[in-house]
Amino acid sequence: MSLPVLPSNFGAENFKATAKFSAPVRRPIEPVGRYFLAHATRSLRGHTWSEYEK
Amino acid sequence: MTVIGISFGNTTSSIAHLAKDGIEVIANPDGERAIPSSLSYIAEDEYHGGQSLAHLVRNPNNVIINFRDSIGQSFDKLDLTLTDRAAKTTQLESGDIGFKIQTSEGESKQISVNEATVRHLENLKHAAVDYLGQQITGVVIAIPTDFTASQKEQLVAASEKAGLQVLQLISEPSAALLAHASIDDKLAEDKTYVVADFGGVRSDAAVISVRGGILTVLATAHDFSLNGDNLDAALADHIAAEFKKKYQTNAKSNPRSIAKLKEASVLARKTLSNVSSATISIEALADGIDFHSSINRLRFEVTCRSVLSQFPAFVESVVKKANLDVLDIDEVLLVGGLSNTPKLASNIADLFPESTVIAAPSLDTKFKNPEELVARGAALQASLLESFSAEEIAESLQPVILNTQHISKAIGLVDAAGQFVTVLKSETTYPIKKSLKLAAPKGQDILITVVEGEHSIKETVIEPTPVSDDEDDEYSDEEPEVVREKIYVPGSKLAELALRDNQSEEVEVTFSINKDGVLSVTAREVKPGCVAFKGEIQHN
Ligand SMILES: Nc1ncnc2c1ncn2[C@@H]1O[C@H](COP(=O)(O)OP(=O)(O)OP(=O)(O)O)[C@@H](O)[C@H]1O
Ligand SMILES: [Mg+2]
Repeated sequence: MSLPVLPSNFGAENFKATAKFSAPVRRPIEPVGRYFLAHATRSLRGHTWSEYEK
Repeated sequence: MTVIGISFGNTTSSIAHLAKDGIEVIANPDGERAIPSSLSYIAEDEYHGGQSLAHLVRNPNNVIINFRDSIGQSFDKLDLTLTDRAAKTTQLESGDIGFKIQTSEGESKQISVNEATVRHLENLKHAAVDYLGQQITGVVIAIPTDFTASQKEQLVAASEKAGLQVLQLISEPSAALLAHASIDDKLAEDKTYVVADFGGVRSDAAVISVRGGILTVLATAHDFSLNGDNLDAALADHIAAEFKKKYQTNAKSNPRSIAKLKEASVLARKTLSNVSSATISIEALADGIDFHSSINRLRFEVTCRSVLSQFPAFVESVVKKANLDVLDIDEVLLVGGLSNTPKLASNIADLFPESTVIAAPSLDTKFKNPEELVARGAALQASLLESFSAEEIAESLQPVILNTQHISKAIGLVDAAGQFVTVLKSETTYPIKKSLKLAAPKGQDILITVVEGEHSIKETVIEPTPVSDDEDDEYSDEEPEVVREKIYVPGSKLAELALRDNQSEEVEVTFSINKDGVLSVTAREVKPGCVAFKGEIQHN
């Protein structure tokens, strides 16, 4: 897999948003496992990603 | 001081804990790891586990079985046939559901389902304390996904009465999957699983997506008429027919003979899961006649064909309920004692494409003891909870934490060949962050097109290669084979991002969705100190 070359007529802008992604669905997740506990802790204590990225 | 996990089935229960080198299942003093969920009261004595079941032949009315699903349930919702062959489930004078047991001449004992649960859990606790040599500070118990609030409440109350403080109740399929996927950190791989649990009196299945290590149950199904007891009944009929043919005697004319047939059927089935033939030996089956015979695996499979053939349809139903196709399922995890049955596993494997992994002992020896997975997962969860306070655990279970956004379509990018490359699978929960590295032409500006993936199912008919021998042609039963594949193509274009003047062989693209649902796409050369090109995409 490789990425394509930018078409010559792309213009000067570096980013063009064209559409929104489909509406997400809210569902309960299962409260098990270490990834869940990390998620819960982050949400409850308002931690940022970087603290959990080690 | 330690914590344990318990699986509590209608048929058997197991206890597990985290030992030095991983999760370990604890045997009771009789060496049972799948401990029959049974209690019996005979004269002054209480028996538990296999010792209790042993009384089913002589004192069936003193033996309590199949009571787990009755906890916290209203009487009219119960399937009373589950206790036909043992102490009958009835309404006690206190109004509770329970069992009236004649312990010795004229003396009777009323044991409610809740009391039986307390005693059962106490016995399990003693087995664990005996083995571990330490007190137990907390327990995680696994429950079916259809347990009601009242059932959960009653189970927790019984457990506390038994001296086991409940850290958390978790669902059986999630416990099993947690145990299974925690090996080699498979939880970190985004996969869609079917967890199918086949027990003594019920079948349960769940479709569970794992994304970024987070589990989401997409659908569940339950079938109370598909179970090990049905296989035992079919096998018992077969044995009785053989007995009748040989001795012209009905082996099903009295409860004691029926109990012996059941016992022999269970034993034969378990043997046939491991080896290709089993001997059947029943003393004084009927009219004082002993019965000796043998059965091979094929005979068993033919005898039980009508029951065995119903399992795939049940599994298929849960996939449909999740609005998925069998092609969407990466792995099927077979759980529960009955999953040891080779034909059951192979029937289910036939439903899925080659690419779907079927985790069952008969198909891959790596997957041993499907009946232990639930307890193992509960033990793992218990060990994870050890560093949290009761308050923190309660907080983590609030709806505001549990109800999480899941993206409804896959999001990815388009490669140089115009193909869709998945970055975030559908059902990915957020916040999430995923990166991948892709080759990119050096000395050029690079285009990253962010799209949603659209899928379709492609069916290719492969005609059988004609047999050269013309005489056989007429009788050729080779049918054209239909190969089904799921194809992803780029769908709605969300954004385009330019990465200017690339000087590296590789570009790293990162998709992250923050808690507010904003998708950030970042691209940079895989080289320290390079500038990142980025943009943000909102959702509908
Ligand atoms: N090795 C084996 N081969 C075949 N069947 C087995 C084997 N071991 C156990 N079983 C069967 O599995 C069933 C019990 O499974 P399990 O212990 O998972 O049930 P459970 O979870 O307690 O019951 P339920 O799910 O119905 O509440 C019984 O029918 C038993 O005969
Ligand atoms: Mg079960």
